[in-house]
Amino acid sequence: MNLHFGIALQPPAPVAADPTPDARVAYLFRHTQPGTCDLLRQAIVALRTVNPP
Amino acid sequence: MTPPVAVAVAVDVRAIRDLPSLPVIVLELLSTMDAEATTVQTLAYKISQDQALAAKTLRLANSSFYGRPSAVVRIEQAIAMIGFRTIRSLVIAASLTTAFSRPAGGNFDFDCFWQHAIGTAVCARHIAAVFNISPDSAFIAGLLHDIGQLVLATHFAASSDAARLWRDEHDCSTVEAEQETAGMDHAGVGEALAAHWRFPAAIRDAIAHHHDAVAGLPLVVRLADAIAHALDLAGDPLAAVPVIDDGLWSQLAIAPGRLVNMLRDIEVEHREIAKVLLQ
Repeated sequence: MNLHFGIALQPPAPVAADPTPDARVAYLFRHTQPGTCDLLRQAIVALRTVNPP
Repeated sequence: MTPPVAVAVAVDVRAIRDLPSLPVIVLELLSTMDAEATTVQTLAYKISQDQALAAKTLRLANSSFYGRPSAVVRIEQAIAMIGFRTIRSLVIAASLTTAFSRPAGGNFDFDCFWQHAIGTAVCARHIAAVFNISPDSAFIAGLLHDIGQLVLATHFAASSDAARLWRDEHDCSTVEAEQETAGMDHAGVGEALAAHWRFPAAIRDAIAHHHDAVAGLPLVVRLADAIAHALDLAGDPLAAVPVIDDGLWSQLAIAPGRLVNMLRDIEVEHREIAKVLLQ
């Protein structure tokens, strides 16, 4: 969470149009919360780190 | 926000009786899924009766994924090289992907649908062994899990379009959008179709419960569906990974490093199979 002039800012919501691999993974997992699909998300992040789409 | 569809669209599931019949070969091969009644020669003969199917089978056998140093020119060769069960699954898939005509108009993306279906099928086959499930059955169940969406798109296009619009505007799941706009969802429609087509009970259950399963083949398909979305196999810009509790994921007892390798293999296999099946 960022602080800007004393106001707590939420991280920006992922957007579909951002083509970078990290942003796309964040967008695909936008409905999941910690404790749901963590194992899959970690595996996808690891895959995309060595093997971008 | 004002809902895009003011009046819910009622879909009469009984209307699925108007659907075209399944190709005979699919019915025959599905009926042999739990038995070894079909011999290699019988399977080869059945495939050979359909020129388009035979051509696709040989293209798959000669694809870079399955390809061998020497070209495969006969169906029996393809079965011997790739394996009886795999060929049977691929033949069913090849036949099903052409069974539904694509009506003019409507906004349903058929290519996107089949890319996801094939992706889920490949994912299901990869994880089936962990759950002691036949990879063959898992592949077919994965391929068919969203078949209700195809019924809605081809026979209730207005309802299908309304649900998709709702999903896109509310950033929710397809099931939620269908429930909101039509009071039903594709899992229920798919189950009705599977019963109408007399699919094996295990596959019917997987279609009906691929969004809420906690065990068995339906869970394999549920996890495979999520993996296919996470790998972005369909090319749907608005795709989202469905929420599944980590307690269920933990049943997929695969070491993290092996899981990453499996995901890489799934991407390659999906690309090759989809290239042949959707050509």
